[in-house]
Amino acid sequence: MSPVSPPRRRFLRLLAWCSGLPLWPRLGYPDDARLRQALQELTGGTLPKYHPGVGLRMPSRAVSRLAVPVRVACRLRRVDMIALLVRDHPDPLAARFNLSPRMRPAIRTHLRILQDSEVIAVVRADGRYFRQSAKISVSEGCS
Amino acid sequence: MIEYRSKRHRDDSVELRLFFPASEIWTGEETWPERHLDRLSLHLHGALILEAGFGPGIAAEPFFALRIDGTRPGDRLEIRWHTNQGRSGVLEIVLP
Repeated sequence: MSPVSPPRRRFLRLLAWCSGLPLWPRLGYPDDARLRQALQELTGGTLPKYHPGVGLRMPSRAVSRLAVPVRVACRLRRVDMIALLVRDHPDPLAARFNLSPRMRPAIRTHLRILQDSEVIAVVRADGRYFRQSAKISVSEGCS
Repeated sequence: MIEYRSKRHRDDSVELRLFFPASEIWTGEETWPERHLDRLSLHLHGALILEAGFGPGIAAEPFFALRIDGTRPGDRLEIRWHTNQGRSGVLEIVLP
């Protein structure tokens, strides 16, 4: 006879499960509600993983806030979507490109970033979503 | 008119750079973010090769640099764009 009776053991196991449950689904999700919603609409609910194959190059300090040069270049195969999101923006999704196989997954563009923020590049490659992010400071200088 | 530059690289890909001057997007009355470039699409011989949608986070004078593979010199590329308040335009270019 074990010191812990089976119903109690089951209850303890259930308790352990339930205590971890609220942490699980939003683990790693960005804290901002608007950004989270934009990401969910973009990917259909799956959280894009960080991947070093998604190259995001942009200055850490902007010369002009009205046109911040951003370059996305992917080393992944079968990329058919590239999106750029700006955290702390009323509408975080700034640009979304659907690419055919003729287009190379390398895009340069200019974004409007009005406050210190983070730019997130989301890429769909072979049906899976990956992301990369970079922080930017626009509060210095006289732009 | 939008401005463009196109260049064929050694690996036979074409680099296309597009610049939308403020006069193509804005009429002067609106303040950000009421008006911005909303959609951009590229058609190569009638086939859609790029479709893009934008939010207010795109620059007021948008700029894009894109690379296109598998084209021949003389191919015709059609560029279509719309702003979110109904202005639109079409530009047809011949690839180098």
